[in-house]
Amino acid sequence: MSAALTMRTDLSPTDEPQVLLRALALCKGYARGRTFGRNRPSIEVLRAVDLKIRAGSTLALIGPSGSGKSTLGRCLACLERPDSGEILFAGKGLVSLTPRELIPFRRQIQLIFQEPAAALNPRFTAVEVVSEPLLISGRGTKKERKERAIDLMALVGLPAHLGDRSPFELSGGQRRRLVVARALALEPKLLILDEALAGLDLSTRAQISNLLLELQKVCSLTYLFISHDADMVAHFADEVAVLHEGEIVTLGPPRLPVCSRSPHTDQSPAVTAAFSRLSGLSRQ
Amino acid sequence: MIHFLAQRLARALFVLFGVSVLTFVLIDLAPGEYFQAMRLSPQISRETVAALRIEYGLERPLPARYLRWLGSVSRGELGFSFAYNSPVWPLLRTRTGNTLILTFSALACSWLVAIPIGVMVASRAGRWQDRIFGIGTAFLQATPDVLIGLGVLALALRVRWLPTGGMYAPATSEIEGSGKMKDLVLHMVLPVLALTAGMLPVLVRHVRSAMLEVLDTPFITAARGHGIPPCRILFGYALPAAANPLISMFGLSVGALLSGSLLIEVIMSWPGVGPMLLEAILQRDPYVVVAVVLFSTLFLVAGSLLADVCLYIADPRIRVE
Amino acid sequence: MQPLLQVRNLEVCYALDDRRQSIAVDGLSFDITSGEAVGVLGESGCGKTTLGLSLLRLLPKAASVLRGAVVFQGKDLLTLAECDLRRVRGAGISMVYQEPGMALNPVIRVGDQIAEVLRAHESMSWARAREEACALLAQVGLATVDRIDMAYPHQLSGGQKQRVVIAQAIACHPALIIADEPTTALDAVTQMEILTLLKGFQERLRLAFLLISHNPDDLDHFADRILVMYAGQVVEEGPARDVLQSPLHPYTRGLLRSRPANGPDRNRKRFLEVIPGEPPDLGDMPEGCAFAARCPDGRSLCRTRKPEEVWPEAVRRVRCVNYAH
Repeated sequence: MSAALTMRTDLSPTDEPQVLLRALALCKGYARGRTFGRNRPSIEVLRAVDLKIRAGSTLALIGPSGSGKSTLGRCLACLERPDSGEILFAGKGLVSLTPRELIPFRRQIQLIFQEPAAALNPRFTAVEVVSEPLLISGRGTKKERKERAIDLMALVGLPAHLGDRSPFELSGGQRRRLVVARALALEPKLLILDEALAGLDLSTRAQISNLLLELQKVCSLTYLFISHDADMVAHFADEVAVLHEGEIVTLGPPRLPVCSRSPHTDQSPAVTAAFSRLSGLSRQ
Repeated sequence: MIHFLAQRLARALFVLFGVSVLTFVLIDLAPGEYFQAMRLSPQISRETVAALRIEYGLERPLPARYLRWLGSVSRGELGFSFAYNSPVWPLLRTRTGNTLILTFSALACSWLVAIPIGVMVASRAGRWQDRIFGIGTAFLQATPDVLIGLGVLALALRVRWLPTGGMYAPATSEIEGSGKMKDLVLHMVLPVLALTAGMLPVLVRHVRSAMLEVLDTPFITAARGHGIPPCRILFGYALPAAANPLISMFGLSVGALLSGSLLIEVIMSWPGVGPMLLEAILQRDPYVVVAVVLFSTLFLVAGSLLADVCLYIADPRIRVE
Repeated sequence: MQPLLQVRNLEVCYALDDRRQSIAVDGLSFDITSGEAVGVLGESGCGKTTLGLSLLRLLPKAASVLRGAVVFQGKDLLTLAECDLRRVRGAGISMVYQEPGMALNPVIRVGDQIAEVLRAHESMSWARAREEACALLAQVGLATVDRIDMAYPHQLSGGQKQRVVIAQAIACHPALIIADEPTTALDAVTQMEILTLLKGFQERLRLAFLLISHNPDDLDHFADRILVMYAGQVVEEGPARDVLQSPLHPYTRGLLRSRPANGPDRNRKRFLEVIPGEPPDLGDMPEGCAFAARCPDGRSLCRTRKPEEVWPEAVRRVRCVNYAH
């Protein structure tokens, strides 16, 4: 609690308005099991990570595999507790809340994963998938939930007649849309997209990207876009944070793509330098 | 690795201890007692029975008896048999040896037959070989072990050249060396056959399903794409990858074989622990029962431990660095 | 000069159930000459993976080749006996797969897996095969990692695993390598490294490549010639530069336009141009052109008549009525 209070006094009146999410000195490590009762030394995944996301904007988080991007995403989505540090959502500290107190905040932060097939229960119909969050939080009658589910599906561009199909009868792009509809069911403020556009064909990726941009305007959403796809990051994000071995190495606007392979680009020097250091490659 | 072994051994000891307590309690709870039969005989007076009971410690409470039994175990006697009027271990020693000869042979036999058959039917899944073996194994699996044993016995009666019971022919005490060995093997054929027939369906099914799962994987397609010959793919590539569930199965099959062997021993008059156990249960000779049950458990636990060690060696993925 | 590989009228179908089947590859024809890198551009469901697998007869049981010929160094691979085909696989034509972790046996050390490929085609002892495997690992850039030949696949990163697979592919000096989306499962930095490695091999060892991908950027740097596939057919073919910079077929144009433009004058966060709708279900193909429902240049006869291949230039062909004269 005191940490949160300290943070609030740090906010001067001239600070940027509407910072929706702020992470301060987040640390997370994983223990590697026990030997006769003593914990073996843990692996540090996140080291004093600081970042902030403005309401209505998109922050991209990039970095090589194993840099801790997904772990950070899960901590911010309140699926895992960081070992130390603070997360402020609309000014309220989340780390010290009990699970029960955390419930209303969890609803406002939703996480979308890369592989929708793994995130969807094959025995549900599409409508059931979308209305499941409503069911769990006890909102509305069955009829109301179904109507809302169909509205959400329309919002993401899925026709109502697909509602009775199993998710596996839908195409990859349609499944992606279904996952987005489900994430929107509880009217979140922040969506964490963990490699949500990865593994998609170009045309499907373009469609989903457009959908996400439209939804950002219509539903006033804020995005944390975790990716390693340089082109989409440059296209999509207002700001880019580079994560390397658990630390934020650079944070800045994506003036130009990072380590893109298109020949017609200049590079933002700081970001390129960071990436080159990360990969050990020198740019051709 | 040491840590791994130490953990497993500690668990094994715990299991043995727990089983001994449980068996003790269950035997005690079972109605009847060794000296009960004597009470029915009018020639033996009640006082004699009571005195015998005190002498053999049956008057004492259960925990005291258990502790006394533990003491006997530490001395290597494993308790006392009322029926034979002797410590249990000397009675069991030869018999456990005989059971182990049978069980190990059956174990080796069943696995050595199951693996090639399982691999073969997996590689020809859906075709006539698979179907025929499928029907055969289903038939064997549905047949109770008793029936298999009796069937084998009936076969022996028809085919004159196989002995129908026992471990050695009565005259073998005069024969030495290879003749004795040959006699032993001849006597072993039928019981091992019966045991193998009982185990085979389950093993073949497991080998088949483990292999099928592996044969479907991309790395097998990749191996074919590299031009590796099919035999090498089946036995050198697919089987090692399928070994994981099979090794666990191996551990379980040890226990299963042991319990199956007790039955077969009784049917085929093989002088193992089976007939002894049956006799002891019927007579309510408690310490013999506990000792035999413990021996079975020891065997089961050892098999499981062996499987764990093999798994650790064979599958690099389960080694936690 | 006789092309290295000639594919003529290849048709492959999958049995969906007892009655229906879907045509995954519909009358495909193309050539590859020695040392040439040919790219296949297409999205999921267009049949490109089926194409790759069918060249070496590695299709799953549910698929079957209905007709066609695949002539490699003068021999038709589709009618070759199994033991002769085994000699071609790995030594004449090799494959590199999409998921590197899946193409490697998890319980066998990577050095031994490379040695296995060597021993399958040349008679040599295990010791010598392992030495050669280490040399190959050095060639693919893994020499600096200590004793990597003793590692198991799960101990390696995605990029390292893919390098091992490439080492297996070049082990027996093939003439052609089929690479099916070799970089899709890897992160951006590693993708670049792997493509550079493969390009290096193409130049040094004069290897021909058939690189299958859904990403035009991969093919931009890599391929000499590109085939664009849609719904099981080649809809466009031509030199890589031409296809990517001045595409002819409406599908290719739509595909290339749906990428975010990342030039200095781009307008960020605008909507991308998309091809509306979804690819057709291969088990339920429409009459007429497969792309007609989504095509911005579609005409009425597109829905009733299947377009033929035309050659607007000597080295370019396209399957669209808009170019037919």
